[in-house]
Amino acid sequence: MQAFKHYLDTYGEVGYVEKVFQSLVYVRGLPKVRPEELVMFESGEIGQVLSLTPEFVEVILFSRSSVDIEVRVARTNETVSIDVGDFLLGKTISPIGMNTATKKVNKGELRTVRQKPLGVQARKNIHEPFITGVSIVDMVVSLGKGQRELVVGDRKSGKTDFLLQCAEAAVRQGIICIYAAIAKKQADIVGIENHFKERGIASSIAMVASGSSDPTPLVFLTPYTAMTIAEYFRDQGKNTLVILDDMTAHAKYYRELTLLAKRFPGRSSYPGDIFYIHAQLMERAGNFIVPKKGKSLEKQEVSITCLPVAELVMGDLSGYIQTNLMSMTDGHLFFDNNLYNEGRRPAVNSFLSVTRVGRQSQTPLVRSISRIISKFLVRQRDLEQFMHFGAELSDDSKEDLARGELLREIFNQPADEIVPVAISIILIGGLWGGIWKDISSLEIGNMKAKLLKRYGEDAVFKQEIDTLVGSSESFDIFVKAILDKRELFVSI
Amino acid sequence: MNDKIIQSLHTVNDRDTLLLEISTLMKAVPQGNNKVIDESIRQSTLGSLGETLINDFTKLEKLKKVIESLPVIKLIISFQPRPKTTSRIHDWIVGNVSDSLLLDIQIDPRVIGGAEIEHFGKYIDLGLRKRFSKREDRIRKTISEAVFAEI
Repeated sequence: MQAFKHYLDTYGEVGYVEKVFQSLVYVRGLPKVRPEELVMFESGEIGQVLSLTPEFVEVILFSRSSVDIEVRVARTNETVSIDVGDFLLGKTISPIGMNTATKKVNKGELRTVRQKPLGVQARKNIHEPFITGVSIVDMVVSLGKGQRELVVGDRKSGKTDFLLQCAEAAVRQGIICIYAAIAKKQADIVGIENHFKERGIASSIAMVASGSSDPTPLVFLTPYTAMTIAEYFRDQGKNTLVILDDMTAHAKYYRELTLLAKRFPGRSSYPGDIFYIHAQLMERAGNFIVPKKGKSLEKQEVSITCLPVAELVMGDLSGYIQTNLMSMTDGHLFFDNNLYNEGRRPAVNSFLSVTRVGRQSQTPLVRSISRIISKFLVRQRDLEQFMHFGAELSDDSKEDLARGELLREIFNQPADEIVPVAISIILIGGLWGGIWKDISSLEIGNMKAKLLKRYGEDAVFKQEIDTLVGSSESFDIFVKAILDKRELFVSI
Repeated sequence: MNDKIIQSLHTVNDRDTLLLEISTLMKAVPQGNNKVIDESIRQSTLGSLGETLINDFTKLEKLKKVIESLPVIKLIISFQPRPKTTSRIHDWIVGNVSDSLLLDIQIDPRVIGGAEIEHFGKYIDLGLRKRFSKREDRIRKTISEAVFAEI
């Protein structure tokens, strides 16, 4: 940005600060200023025009320090923009593009933060699977590239661990990840940065972070900045994953801003445009057809997958912001506190989770497994409830219960483990085929660990597994194929 | 009646002084504080009109509103003008721009000469500082050549 005097001379308009309410400044003057235009104060602070009234211009302040009354204000004729480029990978930046480590702004391509989403003609249906590396999600509630899937659950229900697993799995597939930490504690932000460094994936991740004590307008901008960076990589031809953690905090900060600005409060004191504020963000993700970089006549298919997070209170899915987000996304993953307390990790409740477009991206084999597992889990739940009455169970029911225990153990996954889809399929196929019929939960856990290790280290074994999985169109064919190769798995 | 009072106001300081006097009168009249009223009328800009206005309180309120809504033009100049100079500037503005503008004069020696003018959110820099800064390198070179030539 230029100096204050430059803008004063260039645009020939001046305003004076009349009132200051925390981050909200009322300015008198500036006759031709536009909404969302950036303004500069003589003391050096930057603000953005929130709205115009006959007497005042309402400006939200991006800096922590306040401004004095009667300070002069100049128009800049610019909107909030950030410099984007490959240099953002491996870095953490503030919502206005400043590197939090060096306190500098790197020069790159300038992009406006509040962009309109691409239209229908630039979009394509979702048909490629998005592998999260979490067995229960990949098998039962699978996602597609370009899907917007809400991650919803109580505090401390394992949502962030799941998101970090997704980020790692995405990076290992060559997908760029943008992590937006919205109004987080500094310790949490540093913890996430360190996690990425320890896992060796930091160089493919860009982080946009705002602290809980940062000015409200900066927190408000955070997810938009993350989405702008994702759009830059999309235009470079790279698939991107955007994680917005979390949108309920974003809504609260926006509510604070609008209540200060004396907007008429709606339901739960949220402003009337809260749905629009989030929807315009979600619509910027999807599966797109964009021109190839440098070759405007050639097109390529690129996706921005979005995982917004919403926090629940006491598992209440009917909250205002939560239901808003559920309606504007393509499904949700519900992290159940009860399952978390039982020790299940991740605590995904597959009965209350939904994927609206994930199924169309699944392979035929995964689709048939998903169908079978979903039916089995429902039957399992009914059997467990039936057991409470102390009734006698048939041999088949007892077998199903035992199988259910083993399946639960297969789906149990620590936070630092990424399970390839092929391994999940092998384990489930082996379980249904009877290879691991009479073993305990602990033994199947060990078996899984051994399979993962060998799959990661032995290229020949990996090739065999991938061929086995790739050549089967249905679950029955796959089970037969896996039984033919049972020595391969028994000998591990 | 109001026009005479308004014409006597040249600067923002004049306006603020008059508003203070009006506020004092408006507080004193309901209290029946005759001493304050007499003092105020005697020393006030309102002068002999003060007595007339006191009898009709609403006129006093109306006058206050009119004075508060008078538009202001800000001049940032490099020197402290004498009252005569201020008057001359005001007269020129009344004759050429508007007959009810008040001057808000601020002193900033850095302007060097000319003025920076602000009015209704519009700003124009007609000061010498801006012209000098455009030619800063040339001026600096000329001065240093002259100084070294002397030496």
